[in-house]
Amino acid sequence: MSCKHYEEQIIEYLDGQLQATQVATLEAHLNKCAACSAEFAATREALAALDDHLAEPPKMDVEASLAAVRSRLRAEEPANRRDDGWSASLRWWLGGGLVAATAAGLLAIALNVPDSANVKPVTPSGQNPPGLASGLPPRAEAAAMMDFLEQMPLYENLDCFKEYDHLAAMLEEDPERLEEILREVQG
Amino acid sequence: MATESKTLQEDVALMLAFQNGDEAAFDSLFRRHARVLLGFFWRATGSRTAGEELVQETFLKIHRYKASYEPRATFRTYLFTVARSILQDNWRRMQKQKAERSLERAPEPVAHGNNPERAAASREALLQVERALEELPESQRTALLLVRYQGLPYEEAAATMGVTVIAVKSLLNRARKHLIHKVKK
Repeated sequence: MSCKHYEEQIIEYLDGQLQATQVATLEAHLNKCAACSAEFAATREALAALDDHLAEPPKMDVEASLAAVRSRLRAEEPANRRDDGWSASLRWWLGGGLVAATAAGLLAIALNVPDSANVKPVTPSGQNPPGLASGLPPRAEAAAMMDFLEQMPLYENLDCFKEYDHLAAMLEEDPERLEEILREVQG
Repeated sequence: MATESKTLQEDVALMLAFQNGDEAAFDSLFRRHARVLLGFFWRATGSRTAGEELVQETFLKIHRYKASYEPRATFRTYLFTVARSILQDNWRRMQKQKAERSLERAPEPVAHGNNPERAAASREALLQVERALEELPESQRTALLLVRYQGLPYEEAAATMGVTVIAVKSLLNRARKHLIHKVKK
């Protein structure tokens, strides 16, 4: 066996992870090899220095901490219910609704349609979009859409609409991230 | 060993009971593991405050995603897998707490009485350890903390980190080489 082999066993030895036969072989090598013996001493010294500061973790009031967790779980309950509504809204906007509504808004601006004009929002299903900017006049809706689009860089994993399904699935699995995004979107 | 095996089985039973709606089982799991988890986070971040917050975050995540647990691994492996993920997510935020760290882990003044030289030496040693740990790549530091301070066998540390046992040994050896150059007792 080479010195490199024994050197790599030093940490396992000090962690108590070596088999008895390996321990005997390593100890025999350390007794006759000055270089490995010095490496062993240096490792033991460094780990001892770490132990001096890390061995004893701080005290903890477990019951108080558990009470805090329980409190946070209770606080999340209404938030989770709210998420359901926002999730549906966000899904809609990230789907065809966002494209259609933005197109409608930009078209309205291009045609200089006045706010008071009686123009119905264009949606894939012909229904009013839920949530964000729903029911607003076209120009205001377009402005809201542009605000919304400016937030898009927030969605790190979103490659615009192609990733819609992936994002929706990700958000469903990660309500915390969803809540974070919604907080950002809602300012 | 038999006691440890019994503990591991109890943990799995508690987690399965929790999955089936037994909230008291969740409380039991928290009481059994919160201190150990605080030790892990405190060593990784140097901050007791951040450590306690991360303990809560970990259990909140376990509560939210209880359906994802499968009793293929020990609960401890599952716990530290979630804990590591929480730690990685919060790493950037914790970097901002550097100033707070050193103060929190500083030795109690009473430990050195009125010997300012000894107190200064101890503080310098502490900072040396802090720096050495901080310079380690996250994977090396995690391997070191899991094995040396959480007492996980290499196999369990490997499962927690999603790597092989050989990789864990390699990470530990690289950490060792770094530490012997950076930390002197």
